[in-house]
Amino acid sequence: MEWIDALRSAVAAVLAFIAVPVLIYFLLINTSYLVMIVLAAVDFVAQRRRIPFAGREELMHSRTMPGISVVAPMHNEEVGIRVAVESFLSLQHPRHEVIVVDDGSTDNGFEVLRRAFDLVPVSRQMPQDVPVRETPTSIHVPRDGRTRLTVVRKRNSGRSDSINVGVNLAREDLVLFVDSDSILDPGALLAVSRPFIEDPISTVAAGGVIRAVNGCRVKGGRVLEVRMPGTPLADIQVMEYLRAFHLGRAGWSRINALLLISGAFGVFRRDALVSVGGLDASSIGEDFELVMRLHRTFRKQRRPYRVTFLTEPICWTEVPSTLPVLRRQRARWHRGLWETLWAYRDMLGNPRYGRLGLVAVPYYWLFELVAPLLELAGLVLIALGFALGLVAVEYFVLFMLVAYAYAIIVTLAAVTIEELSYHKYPRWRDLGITLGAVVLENLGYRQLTAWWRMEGWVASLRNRRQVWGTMTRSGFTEVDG
Amino acid sequence: MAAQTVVSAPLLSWVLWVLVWAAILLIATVLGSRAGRLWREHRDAQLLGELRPAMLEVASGEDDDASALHRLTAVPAHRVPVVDRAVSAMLSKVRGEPARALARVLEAHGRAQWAIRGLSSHSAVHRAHAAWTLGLMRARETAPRLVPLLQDRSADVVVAAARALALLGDGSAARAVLRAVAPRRRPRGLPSWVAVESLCAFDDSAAPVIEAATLHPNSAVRHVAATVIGARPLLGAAPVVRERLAEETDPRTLAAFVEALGRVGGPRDLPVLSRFARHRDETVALAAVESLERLGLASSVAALAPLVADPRPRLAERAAVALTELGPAGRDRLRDVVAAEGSAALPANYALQLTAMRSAGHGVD
Repeated sequence: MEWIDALRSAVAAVLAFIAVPVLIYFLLINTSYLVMIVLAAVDFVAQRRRIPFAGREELMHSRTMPGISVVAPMHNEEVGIRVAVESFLSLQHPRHEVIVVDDGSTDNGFEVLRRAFDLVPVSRQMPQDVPVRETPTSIHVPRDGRTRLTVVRKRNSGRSDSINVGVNLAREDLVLFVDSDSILDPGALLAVSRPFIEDPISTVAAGGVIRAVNGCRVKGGRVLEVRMPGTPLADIQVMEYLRAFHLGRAGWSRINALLLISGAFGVFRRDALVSVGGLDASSIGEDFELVMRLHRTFRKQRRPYRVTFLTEPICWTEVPSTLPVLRRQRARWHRGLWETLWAYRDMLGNPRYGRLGLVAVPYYWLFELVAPLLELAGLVLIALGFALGLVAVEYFVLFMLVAYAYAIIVTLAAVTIEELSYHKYPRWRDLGITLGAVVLENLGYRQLTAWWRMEGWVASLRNRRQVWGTMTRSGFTEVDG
Repeated sequence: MAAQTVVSAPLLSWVLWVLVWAAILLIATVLGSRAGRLWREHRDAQLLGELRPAMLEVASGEDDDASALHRLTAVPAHRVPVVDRAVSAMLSKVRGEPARALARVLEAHGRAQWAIRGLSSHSAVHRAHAAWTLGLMRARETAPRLVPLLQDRSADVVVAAARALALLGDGSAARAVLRAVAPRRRPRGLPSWVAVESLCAFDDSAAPVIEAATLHPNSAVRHVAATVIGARPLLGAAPVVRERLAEETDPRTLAAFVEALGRVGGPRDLPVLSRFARHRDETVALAAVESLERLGLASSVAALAPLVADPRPRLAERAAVALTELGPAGRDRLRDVVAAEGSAALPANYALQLTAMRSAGHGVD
């Protein structure tokens, strides 16, 4: 069979050419995760050590605590919106308001709120500080005139545009973005506001931790007991969030090179948001794009600024529990990553942006964007080599074991840091599930998500229209009594 | 071929062996850490459960015969750290005689000597802990020993020292606290809010230092000074604030000065605050509106009324709401604005609507 010989030669040549670079790449990417985890661990240790004398209990009564507007966009959230708004209103903070932006819901979400909070329409002028596509059709407040809740109705124009409407209506100095199906820990507002009173001149943005609420016991918009989800797909995502979004971002923040604050839980100084024009409603990775724009604008204007990540405040959110939803989410994230990195390609390797331009942005290009491509290419080649008899079975097995064992070590390091610091999952059973998920992640999940991320990238390159899709939510595990 | 054996199989085996052992070590750490933590929590809860009534008795000042104090001071050595931790946590929440009584527990356990020795420890955690303990014990005589820690290389130590000095209330430390906000040697200074809370807790001898800090070249220090002047409030600092308003370049610090003037100023400041309410930076303008409201003068109504027509909707709305807070005169002025049907009618109407809803809920006009 001539074509098999030709294929064998071709694969052998490619393997010979790329084997070493790919190996080095995998070593580097996992080592970089490990470095981030170690950096985060240093930060965690420092935070835990300072608890007895840091004065966290005094924050609530601090004379310098700025007010904060909690902006929650809502689209067809009829089932959980009342509980969510009640929980936002009862968060610990000396001065906060809640702004719910109904983004053209077709369900009874608004009616639920109207009845629950006795809403009445008011004639209020909306500032145009940040450009918006859709202006409010009506604005409502509770009849008592005191409850600090505003509900805005407008035609459907997407999450980012809804947040921009909320930013315009915000009265306070700080603006928090949060999804209306998420749960904030009672002290999360205070904790996430802390950088703004530590350094009121420079701090422009701060992000908190996102954790999976799947499986947790919830009552009245409060997480009563933290549990692992108990389904493999969600369990693995808990590990992923811990390693990449929690520890990874803490590591970047430690070296002052944080590029991303999650749109699900981020606080921004309103004047800073206004000065950069708010969220880009046309962007797929709107949270990433916003932080990049803040960096670029403030650096260009030579204004002092600080973007920071905190590991203490927690926002609980439901992670996808089905493969189709997870697929859409990962494709969208990767598409957003690519489009934003491309839009800000002038920052790549640019010394004008300091360690952002020289370290963080190149890292995102090399290890976040290209990772799925190289992972899949490596897998296909080694499988081909194996199938064509170019790689011995024992060697193939050994190679794969080493590759994934290193990935497992990285995640285990993250689990260890979590256990030594925040130990959020108290049950021994959850610890067992955690350790199982660490191994399971490498058996199919990694490869699938790499493929979906490539789908998102390719869709962008082919200029396909982005469809957000619907997040099918199974709801929280509400406890009785 | 070269590609299959880019890394030799023995080397791979060796790496795998190392990784497996690393994984076992990490898992053992996780399990050991959890087991140890649960055991400690159980032990501490048991110990504290027995002693909590005595602690509460001392903290509430009801320990007339000092029997509760004796129970706490006479605990066996292995229980002392647990009791001291609990007493320290309680001490940060109480003031006055209960605080002094609880401090005696720490004193009896030799914590004062331990803390004084700890101030010069090599460990930053130890130094911070020592400083905080002296603050909790209200050991005022140790203030001079704490002041140098405000220039410590560890940010944790600096914060602990500043908070301890706040508990001691000694105004002579004010200059050092302000210096710690903008240190020369460390990249990041004392957090602004810790500095503000400390300076607010100091006695009046701190006032001249705070006023002088309004001229500091670093805007973070000026911001702290302005905030403290407003928060204490330092009424005597009004002339300094007025002077700084003309000079300040940083918008957020300027807003802090404007806000401070609302708390320490008087009728003569209405014109200058009215001018700042037109400032192009909205943060400054909003601070001026708030100050005009806070002054609460009859003439504030005249100063705020034109602002309801400001082209910036947030400012116009804030001015309208401020007018409703200034009583019937302010609300009457807003009704006039609504009747005139100009661009100011919308914010005026909104503010009146809110007031009417609040009044309906409380049965007042």
